[in-house]
Amino acid sequence: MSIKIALAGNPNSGKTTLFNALTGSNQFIGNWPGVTVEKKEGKLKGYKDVKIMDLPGIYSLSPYSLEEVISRNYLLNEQTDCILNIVDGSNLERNLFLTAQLLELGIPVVVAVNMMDVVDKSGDVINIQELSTHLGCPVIPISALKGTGIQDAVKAALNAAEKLTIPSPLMKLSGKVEAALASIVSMIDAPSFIKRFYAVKIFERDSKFVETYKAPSGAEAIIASVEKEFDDDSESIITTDRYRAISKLIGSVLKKKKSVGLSISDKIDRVVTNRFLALPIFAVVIFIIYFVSVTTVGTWVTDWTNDGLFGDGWHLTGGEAYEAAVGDYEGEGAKVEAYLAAADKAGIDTAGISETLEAEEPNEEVVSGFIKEASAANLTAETEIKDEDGNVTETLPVSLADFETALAAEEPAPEEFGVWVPGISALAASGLGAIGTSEWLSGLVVDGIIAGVGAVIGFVPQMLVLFLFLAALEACGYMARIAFILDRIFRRFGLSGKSFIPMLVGTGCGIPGVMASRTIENEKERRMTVMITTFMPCGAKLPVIALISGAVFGGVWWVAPSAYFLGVFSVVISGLMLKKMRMFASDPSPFLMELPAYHVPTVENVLRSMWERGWSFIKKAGTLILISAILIWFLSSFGFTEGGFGMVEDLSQGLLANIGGAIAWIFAPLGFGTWDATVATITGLIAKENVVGTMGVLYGVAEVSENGEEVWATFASHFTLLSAYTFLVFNLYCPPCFAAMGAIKREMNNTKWFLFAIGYQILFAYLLALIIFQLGSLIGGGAFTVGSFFGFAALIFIIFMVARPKFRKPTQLRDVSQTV
Amino acid sequence: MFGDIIVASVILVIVVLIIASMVHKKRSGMSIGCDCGGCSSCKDEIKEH
Repeated sequence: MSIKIALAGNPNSGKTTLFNALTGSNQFIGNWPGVTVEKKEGKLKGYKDVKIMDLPGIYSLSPYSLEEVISRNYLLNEQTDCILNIVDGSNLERNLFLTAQLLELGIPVVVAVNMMDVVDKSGDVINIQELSTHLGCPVIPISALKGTGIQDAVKAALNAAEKLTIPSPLMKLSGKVEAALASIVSMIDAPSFIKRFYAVKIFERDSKFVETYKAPSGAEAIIASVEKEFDDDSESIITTDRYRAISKLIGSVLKKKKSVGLSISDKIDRVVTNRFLALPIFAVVIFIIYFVSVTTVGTWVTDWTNDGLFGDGWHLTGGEAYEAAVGDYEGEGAKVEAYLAAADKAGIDTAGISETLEAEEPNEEVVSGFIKEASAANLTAETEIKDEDGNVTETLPVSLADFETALAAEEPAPEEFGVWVPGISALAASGLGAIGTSEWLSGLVVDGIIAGVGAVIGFVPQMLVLFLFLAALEACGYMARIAFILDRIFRRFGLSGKSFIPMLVGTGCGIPGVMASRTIENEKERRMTVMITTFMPCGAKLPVIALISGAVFGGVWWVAPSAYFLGVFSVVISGLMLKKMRMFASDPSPFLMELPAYHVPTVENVLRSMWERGWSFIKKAGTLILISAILIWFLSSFGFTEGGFGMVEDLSQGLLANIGGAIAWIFAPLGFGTWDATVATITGLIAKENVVGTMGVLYGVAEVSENGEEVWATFASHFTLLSAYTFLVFNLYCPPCFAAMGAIKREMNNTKWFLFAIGYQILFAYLLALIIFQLGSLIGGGAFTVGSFFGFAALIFIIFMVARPKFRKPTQLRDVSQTV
Repeated sequence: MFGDIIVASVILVIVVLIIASMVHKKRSGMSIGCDCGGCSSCKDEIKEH
């Protein structure tokens, strides 16, 4: 017989941490309330027939939030065998309010007092035995984070489920309320174990409950009489009475150590949530995270992955000697170029020799002819030796003999220096050649699959570093503070700090970010949050940022953080514009959030969070991106030529070039109206990693050419600094991917709202890129064109939308019944 | 020719498997390409399907 155990408790009490420990699952956990918005099911480790259900965190069983309705419906309708109620031992009084309600459900309950390590550390003492006696159910002290007491809690829950031990709490409400409830119980026609819960709900006039269960006719008179006596509404009477009973209970079971001033968490909060320091500290933290992820540690490993693993290969030893040999070879090349330039200046025709030197086998006659002419003219030249910064350090004379020596120089082969490990591309190319694969098939594998997937996989190290930082910030409790800090700002443009949680989750992936908007009660605020959450750069956008930053901007420090801050700016501007619209006009809902105590994150949890996010990225590269890479390779390599349909030599003749070319004009005002950039943008709508994958296939970004520095040069040559930045801006802020668009559609639950959200994102990204490109061109010395006019018009339009008067309309609370 | 058949077959099998798993995932109500990292429950649910 299978057993169902439900994990119920307050937000941030450690339910998901316990769920992961019990099921071996890797559900996302974060040290802030509202992480779990959907119930999650898993199987208890070692017990095939025991199912564990992780419910969203709730403070009560009232019907005011979606999480409460989800949890209550599950507990009442899904025949749970036992409730494992997780109680935060460091906040016992508030947590027991829910416990008191769970005990009335007529379901076996086991209370697990979590965070006992924190309780012990603070010096407080909880009398577990006495607590158990008063609650009328087993109480087990645990620490989900440290893994202590978990098995005892499981055994107690299984035992309670098997024996069907319904709790019999000693904790009672005041005499008059108990008498009223007893009267209502006597009127109810229901199984005896659930009568008490029904009576309380009828007494409270719970709107959701009385919709399905008709209150007995005599109940209203009893409730009205108690309300008159207490001079309060029935729901408040129950709430006050429960807290009074809990407070009495706490007095007998909890011995608090005398307060010795501020706790460490309070001391940290005095600095990081300080009115003036909070925002600068937040900005510095985010800057450091992105700077380290994208431009330092992450880049070193990513360079190796791109240039070595998915390129030609890498040196285990002998790298320096090879670099020196390459330097010498380049020096010889510079001598040839200088000598040819001097010859050109002296009136000697260099077209023939220049052409033959580029051929695989130079024409000896042309070379010797040139040498004769140069000798007759007694030609000499000078070449400049430059340092790493491009400064001329030395000028060397180049004689005819030097020129001839330079011509004879051979390019150093990497395998001749030290231990050389060939890269995947090189290995695949030679392997496919060895088994006699056709050129087109070899092209598909090397230029299509390996180049496309490799370009994306190459950014995994950077993403892992970013995810590591984000996981650590989440786990230690700082992220919850950021929501608190930003509430002050968000409030000014029609959102509350609660809207930050979806955006925070969205920095990992937009889909759970969009889903996290469910915790927002105000429907208009929630819709607005769904629309703008994906402006925050998610993990999949990181490779695009890193590519533009590395390839075009030479890894300059400000590009990656600017993408993040521009995301925040887009959220702010969008909030200011949208809240002025009639459809979003309302006052922001109040922001109530519990700030969890800071704690040192466990290495296991941080690494697991990092790996889970990183692994799903790798999986996507091996599935969706691989299919896209094959498709892009096919469409770019095949096309209609004079001889009919077939493989084309030049990518610009392929089908993809035709498709991209036909709609590239749309992006011309943004500075990247080329077919290749257009195609990358469109494939990016399927998944953002495709932007890099497409570039990988089209420009061979994953391959190393003769000179390591040229890896991204092909890509960079297609963009100016400004057009590359606008390409980045448009791709970051237009709709993120099919999956996220699906999540937006689900959360909007309305086709018109979904289309409005997607349309807004496209329009906003377009206008932002247009303004940056057109105004940037003007500032850079460009002429005033029609594009400049539209750039200014877009800027004025946005300023008008932000500055126009606000539409006033009262707040509308969401009817949660429509979403359940 | 022999090499072509082997390589093309391997690619074809991989593509078919990927598409089949995507269709299966979609039918199970999951988001294709979700990056959230909390997909263990998705995996469990897919297994049960």
